[in-house]
Amino acid sequence: MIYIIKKQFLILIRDKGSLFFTVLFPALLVMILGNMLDKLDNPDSVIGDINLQYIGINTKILPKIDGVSFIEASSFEAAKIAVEADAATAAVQFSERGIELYQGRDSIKNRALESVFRGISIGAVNSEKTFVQTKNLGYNRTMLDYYAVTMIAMIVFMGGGVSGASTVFEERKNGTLSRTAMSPKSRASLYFGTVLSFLPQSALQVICTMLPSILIFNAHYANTIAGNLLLFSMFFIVGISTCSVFALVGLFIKINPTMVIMPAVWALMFLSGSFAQDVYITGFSDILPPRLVQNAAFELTIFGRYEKCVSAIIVSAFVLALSSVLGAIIFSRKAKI
Amino acid sequence: MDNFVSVSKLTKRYGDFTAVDNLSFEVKEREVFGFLGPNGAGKSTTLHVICNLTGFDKGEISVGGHDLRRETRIVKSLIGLVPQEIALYPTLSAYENVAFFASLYGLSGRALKSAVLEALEFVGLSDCVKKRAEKMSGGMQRRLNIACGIAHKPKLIVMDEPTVGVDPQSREQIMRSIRKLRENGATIIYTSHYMPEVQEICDRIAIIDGGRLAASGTEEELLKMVTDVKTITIDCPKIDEKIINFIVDLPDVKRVKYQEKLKIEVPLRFTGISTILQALVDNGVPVDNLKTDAPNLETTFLALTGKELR
Repeated sequence: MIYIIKKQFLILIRDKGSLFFTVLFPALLVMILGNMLDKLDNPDSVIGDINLQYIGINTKILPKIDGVSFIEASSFEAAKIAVEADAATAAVQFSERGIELYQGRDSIKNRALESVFRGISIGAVNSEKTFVQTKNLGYNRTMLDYYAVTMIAMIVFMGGGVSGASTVFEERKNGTLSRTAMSPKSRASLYFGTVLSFLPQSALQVICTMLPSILIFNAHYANTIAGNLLLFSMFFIVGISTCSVFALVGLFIKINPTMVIMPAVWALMFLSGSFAQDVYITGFSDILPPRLVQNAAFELTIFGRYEKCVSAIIVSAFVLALSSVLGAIIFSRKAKI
Repeated sequence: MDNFVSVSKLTKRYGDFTAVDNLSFEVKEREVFGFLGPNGAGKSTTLHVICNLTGFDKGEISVGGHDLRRETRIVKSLIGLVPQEIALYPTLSAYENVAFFASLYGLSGRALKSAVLEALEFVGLSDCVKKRAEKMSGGMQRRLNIACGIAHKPKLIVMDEPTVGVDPQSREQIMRSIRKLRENGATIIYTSHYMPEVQEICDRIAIIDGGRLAASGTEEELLKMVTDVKTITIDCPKIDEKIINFIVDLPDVKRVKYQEKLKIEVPLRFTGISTILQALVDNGVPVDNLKTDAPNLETTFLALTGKELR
């Protein structure tokens, strides 16, 4: 299997198409987006004071955040009227069902508020600092900080999809698939070797996106090295599992996969909505893989919560194992290569 | 010599279409066995079955004494394929291509390196070790294609039209390599559309048509199956019926006809050409040219299959 990995790696770094999608495209995307967003975003700008009218909770357990004031309203309806009259930034109702937020017209303040309330933990009233206070949430994160995560997700799904499907297609086109299959090595081991050969590619894709964004544009991911390693691991294994799933698809398609896979992955990303959420377009579903992966990444980078990242890693590992085994079985039993 | 490859009653169907129909043949150890047939005859299907690239419906195949179905892995380790299409990784160098395919047969470390360099030298590509396959000429790629198939020193080499589309120099190099392989003890199954190649290199030939074996044997045996006559063609103006009758009456002359040229069918060992020429000269018939067409594989193939080879 080591020879297959070595062979695939050499092909990756020498084939212009593969090199573009794995290394250049991510770096280019970072440079373009980073430059664009750098000019649009001023991370040090002050959001301004936020006046919240609230109801349904004891004042003492409200978080203390600089620049955010809480005024108790007589009713939620009255608080809403105040918001509509621009007398308050937003109205908040705390109840057993959860937190209901009625936002005003200022979109930047609204985004900050969403971050604030996702970080609020009602039970942690005795802790000196909330997540929000610790992270200085929403105040110093640039647009690139948000988009960078989405960008990596897009690259691992798109790059993984095209690379995975292309591997089998290219082997068939070159005629090398038959030659490889007639060797004494079992077809299953050949297939597993091909899946393992996606390891360097997946690592390169994530590194080529994260590193330039951090070094050149000062993008922030997780707050700690451990957090960033976890983030990297998640994207890495999601990338390989995507390659593996699409390699399985590649066993069946006879046309150039780029023409088929690329639009399909674009559609998946669009329907997932999280890429679009930052531009206020709601996605079609909350359970599509790109959406789930991005949410897990945001949970880690913005809130410091790693549970969803770990879940994403476990699920991706399972998908990787299942698709590899299925692919190996199908490849072994295929009557004609 | 013992049989190294034995194919017995091989049948392969694709749905309603029978690509190979009850085909049986043997290939002796250390011989170069030619496999001829028109397009769609079932040659490639037969080769793919032997190489285990596709399954088969009926029959038995053994290679080196090992049954293909029961001892597949062993059989695969004995075979090296040189496919008709060039099967290389374009962005890998000559060395890397050969090394990869050789590694699939269990070679590693120094043994692998030595085998790769030996294979490249064998096909005359020692100077191109680091050259990428995509940068090579067609002839060089063909030779590299061969190197990839033989680096692991297989006992059976299956070569599917290895010289198609190459320049004469590369073809000659390839033919030399095949002769060397035979000298080194390999058994070779060789397919080609180019008759002179087959005549030059093959010890025995099988002609396959419509998925069935039309004939097999040495070249001489095949020629005898079809005809034992040759044709003498003489360029001369139209001659008198009297002269034609004289030639017809000569001993061993089988048939005479005049159609722009004088054509006379005689046995292969006919020695009376001078008598015919004398008759023409005596009657004042000028002779511009004389040609003898002995039967060849091309005509034999046509007679046996009713088809042109291409």
